[in-house]
Amino acid sequence: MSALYLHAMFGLGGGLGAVLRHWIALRVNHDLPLATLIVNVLGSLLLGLWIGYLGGPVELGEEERRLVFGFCGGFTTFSSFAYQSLELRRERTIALAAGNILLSLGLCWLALWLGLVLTR
Amino acid sequence: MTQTRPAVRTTAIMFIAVFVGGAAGSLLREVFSAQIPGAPVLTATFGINVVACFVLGWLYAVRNRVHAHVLHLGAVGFCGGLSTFSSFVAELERMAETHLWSAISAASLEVAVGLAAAILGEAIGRRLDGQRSTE
Repeated sequence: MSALYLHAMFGLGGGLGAVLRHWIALRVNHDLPLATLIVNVLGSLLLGLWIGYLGGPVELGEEERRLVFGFCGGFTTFSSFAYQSLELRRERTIALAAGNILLSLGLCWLALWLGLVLTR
Repeated sequence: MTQTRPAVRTTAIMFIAVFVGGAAGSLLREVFSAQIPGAPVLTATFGINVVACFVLGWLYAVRNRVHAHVLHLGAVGFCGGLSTFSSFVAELERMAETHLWSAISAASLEVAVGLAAAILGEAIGRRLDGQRSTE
């Protein structure tokens, strides 16, 4: 299997993840950045499940591994999370910005941990 | 029917732009992650996330001057694909298994540097944009 093909699978996963993230962002129309929080929590849960699953006795091709890893990375976003936190600080209150940061970190961490525990 | 067609086309272009940007950003991250050695706290993901915050800040500074599809390609797709929250927390989780406080410090540092990068990118974008409009 060529390295190029594996990179392409990762890129494909990332592109699909980005499309789904944007689709969710368009549907979750809220004045707080809930969409980003939702995708980051779901993506972290999926990555936890995937890492845990791959840690077990599975026979899976490298392309499937890459596809899902790519998807998790493309689906979740750190840059929008950071920028929206800045906007909350600017347009709303610093408490909301801090809340967004703590909630994102806490829930995503919990989601990843949950994924790892469920598949362990 | 004929009236909905331009809207359908715009939506299609929007999602294609997000897909292309997301795929390119993800690919770039994958390639760079393999190339950058990375230290225990200053991981490749850390550096790449910070770069994505900088680029996103820059793009948002000029958001009113560029076409919406440029933002779909660059901001939503590319910066979103380049940066990752899932690998970020996965690295923190791995760190927390042995050193909880290192993980908490690394998380605080990455968020602080990411915010600073977005502010810096935005400031530079605004300044350059301001220069261009007064020329």
